[in-house]
Order: sequence, then C-alpha cells, then structure tokens
Amino acid sequence: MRYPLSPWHGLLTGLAVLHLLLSAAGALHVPLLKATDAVTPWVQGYAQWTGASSGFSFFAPGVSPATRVSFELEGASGERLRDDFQYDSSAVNVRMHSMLLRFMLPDSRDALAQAWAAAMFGRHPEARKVTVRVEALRLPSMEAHRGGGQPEWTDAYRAVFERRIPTPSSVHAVTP
Amino acid sequence: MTSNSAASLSAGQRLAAFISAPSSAGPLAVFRIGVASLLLVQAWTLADSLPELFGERGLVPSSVSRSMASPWVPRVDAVAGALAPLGISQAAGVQGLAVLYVVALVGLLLGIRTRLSAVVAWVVHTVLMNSGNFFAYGVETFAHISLFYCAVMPVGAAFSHDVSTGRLSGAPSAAATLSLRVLQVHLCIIYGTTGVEKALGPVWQDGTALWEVLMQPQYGQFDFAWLASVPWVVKLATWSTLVVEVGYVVCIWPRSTRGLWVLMTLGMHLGIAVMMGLWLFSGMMAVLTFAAFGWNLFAEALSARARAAVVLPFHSHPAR
Repeated sequence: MRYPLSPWHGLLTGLAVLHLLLSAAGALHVPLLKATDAVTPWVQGYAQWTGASSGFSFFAPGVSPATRVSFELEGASGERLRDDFQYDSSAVNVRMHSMLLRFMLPDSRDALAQAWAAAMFGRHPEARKVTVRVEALRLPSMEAHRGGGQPEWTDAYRAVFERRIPTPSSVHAVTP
Repeated sequence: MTSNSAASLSAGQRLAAFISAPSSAGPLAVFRIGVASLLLVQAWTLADSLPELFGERGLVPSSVSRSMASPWVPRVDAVAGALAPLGISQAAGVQGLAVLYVVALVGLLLGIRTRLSAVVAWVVHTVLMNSGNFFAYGVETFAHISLFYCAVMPVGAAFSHDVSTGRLSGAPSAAATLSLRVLQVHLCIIYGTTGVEKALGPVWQDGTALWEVLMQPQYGQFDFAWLASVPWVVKLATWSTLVVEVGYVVCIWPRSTRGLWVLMTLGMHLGIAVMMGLWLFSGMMAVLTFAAFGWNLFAEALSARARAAVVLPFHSHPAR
C-alpha cells in the first residue's frame, strides 16, 4: 500500500525535520544559530519556547561534587542555633540541590547568600546574625575508601550577615 | 502491510509510509495521560513551596535568576507587574498562575478541550520555569518539551473526553504517525547525546561514575559504601548505563530488540528512582519511552492474549 504525501503533510514533515535538527543542535551544544543576525533572535526564541535548545548533560561528562548549605544563627543575647534548607518533601529538596549546584556561579554567590540570610531572618525573627556556610563533599576513590578514607565536607563559602536595625523601609534588609 | 508488499516498495515509499501511514493516536494519548499525571503530582508536591520558589522574597532574588533566564520568555515578575494595576499582588499572581496550570493539567489529563488545555499548561509552565530557573532540573526540561508536543500533536485523539463526546475524531491519522515519529526521533537524540557525552567523561570510562553519584547524600537513598568492596558491580552498572543510552539509538527500532530495549530503559529508570530518589524524573522518562516505543508492543501483546483466550477453548477439545 502506498501513502503519497499531501502538500500539507509534506509541509508538516519539513517543519518537524527542522525542529528535530534544532533539537539535535541544542543537545550537541552546537551553535548553529549564528548564521544571520535577522533570523537568530526568532530561532532562539522558538528554541527556548519549545525546549529545542535543551541540553541533556546529566552527570556528564563528570559528576559534580555534592554541596550543602547550613546556617548558624545568633540571637541578641548570644544564643546560637542551626538551620538548613531541608524540607519534608523530596521534590523540594531536589530543587534546593539544583540551586546549590548553581551557587558555584561566581557572579551570583553573594546575592544568593544574602537572599538566604534574609530567608533565615524571616524564619527566626529573634536572630541578629547569621553565618551562611556552603560546603562541598570530597569523596575518596573506592580504593581509598577500602583503605579507610572517608567522605569529607570542606568549606566552599562562608559569609556573615547582620540584621539591620529595623526601620519602616528596611524590615527585611541584611548587611554582610 | 505484509512483508512481501513492504519488500516491493522503494526506499522513498517506505519512508513515506513511515511518516504518513495512518495510525492510532493511542501512543500519543498514553504520552498525554502520563505527562499530565506526573506534572499534577509534581504540582501537588510543590504547592506549599511557591513563596520560596517564585515569591518576591524567595530564595533566589529575581535580579540573580534573571541572569540565567531567557529574554524571549516572560517571567513571573513581568506577569505580576502587568497584574499590579488591577490590585493583584505578586503572591496572588503566582498563586493564580499555579491554579491555572493545575486546571490546564486536569483538562489535559482527561482530554477536555485538549489542545487549549495543553497550550495553557505549556505557556504557564514555560513562564514558571523561566522564573524558577535556579531550581530546575531534568524533569523540568522534559516537562517543557512534552507540554510543547502536547500543544501541537493530536494527543487528544484517543482516550479522551473530546473523542467520547465527538469533538475530536479517534480515527487513525497521518498526523498521529508523524507526531509519533517526531517523539521517537527526539528520544533517540536525547539518549544518544547524553550517552555519548557521558562516554567522553573519565569517570564513565573508568567505570566509577555511579560510585560518585550514589555516595552523594542528596542522591544515595541507602548506604552504598559497601560498593567500594565490590568495584566490579559499580563498573558493570556504570557501563550498562552507557550501553542502554548509546544503544537506544540503534536497538529501539528493530522489532527484534525493541521490547528488550524498552524493558532495559524502564529498568534503568526504575533503578534511578529507587536508588537516587528521582521518582518524578524517572517517571517522566519512563512515560516517554513507554508511550513512544512500548505502548504499541504492549497493546499488541494484550490483543494477542485476548485472541488466544477466545480461540484456545475451541482447540482444547480434540474431539471437535
């Protein structure tokens, strides 16, 4: 049985092929879209709306080291307590982990730490000072682990924020 | 189509049949139902965390997340800014978007005004993802791609309210075939590129990648330290992952290996879910492969069993 392509189906097939080519370029991290300045914004917009620009480098080529964040809070009379971003929902915890992986982008570190400190001051209204501590996991090889080596958390970032004296316009403000 | 007639066709005619021979929209409907179900579960699990993820005083300030955002897609703060003259706060705007998203997903799941539901879910998801980009991981990428496909493919042409009420035809169509081929080829691109990219990495080549993954507290659901004393198990699992992903591109197409590869792929994602706790991501990937390559095999096996159940009673009495 033969299935001649109608013009409409032929057009749809052509569009599908273009979409898949764009998707393959996105997956391979190939910048095919720098050909002409007039077309590029449209193609980029299309690729971002449709997901055709997506890459799929899951744990590739290497595995990023684990990171964790913790907060040490100090109250007005010197009492201390610890907090973190662990939630009851594993779906939320996975997202917190994604955020931490992106913490390593140098441009956004301080702003992120400041936002986290503000979140901690919101959770703990009595706190006057918060230390943001981000640690990275140093994992021994299997061979080293057999020889007694253990995973070890090492400091990757640390910053101290103090709550500003509240004024009507800066209730949530913090200062590093 | 019989094998004789298939053999008599030219390559061009076979290609034309491959993309345009009318087929049922069943696999696309399975895709739609699976994706909508998983995204509803995801929405439910995240409902209490909207302020942290998207709020004005969230964990990632919009000034920071904007650096990673697409300039071609609006963000929640732009939507909230547009709603502000109406007296709607940003928090209320985010909640409104979330409610709209869930309603659209329910419509998509049940196949009620399927196209409209899919377009709304896709647009809202894209806006939310562009706003909460620091929190996104693999499942968001696949949800984004899947919702776009739900918006443009005839995913409501089977197992839907639209078909049962006569709004849409459930007849086999060339559009359903082309759509399924796009989904299948895109999955091959995904598995092929991620497999090759892994294979280029030293930890995948020396077979220790899964040690590094499973020993991370975020992923390891159990204590996997014992793996250090059986490194061959780690190597086997690491290299098997590469075989499944790279081999997907080739082995998922021939009928003789398709069933095996579907089962191996689903098994790999089950393993990721159980050992790494990534249930939504694994569920999404399993839905994609099952819908694109597994559903037709499954439906054929079911109907063969049903036929056998009808025929066998007459063959079980030699006297007849």
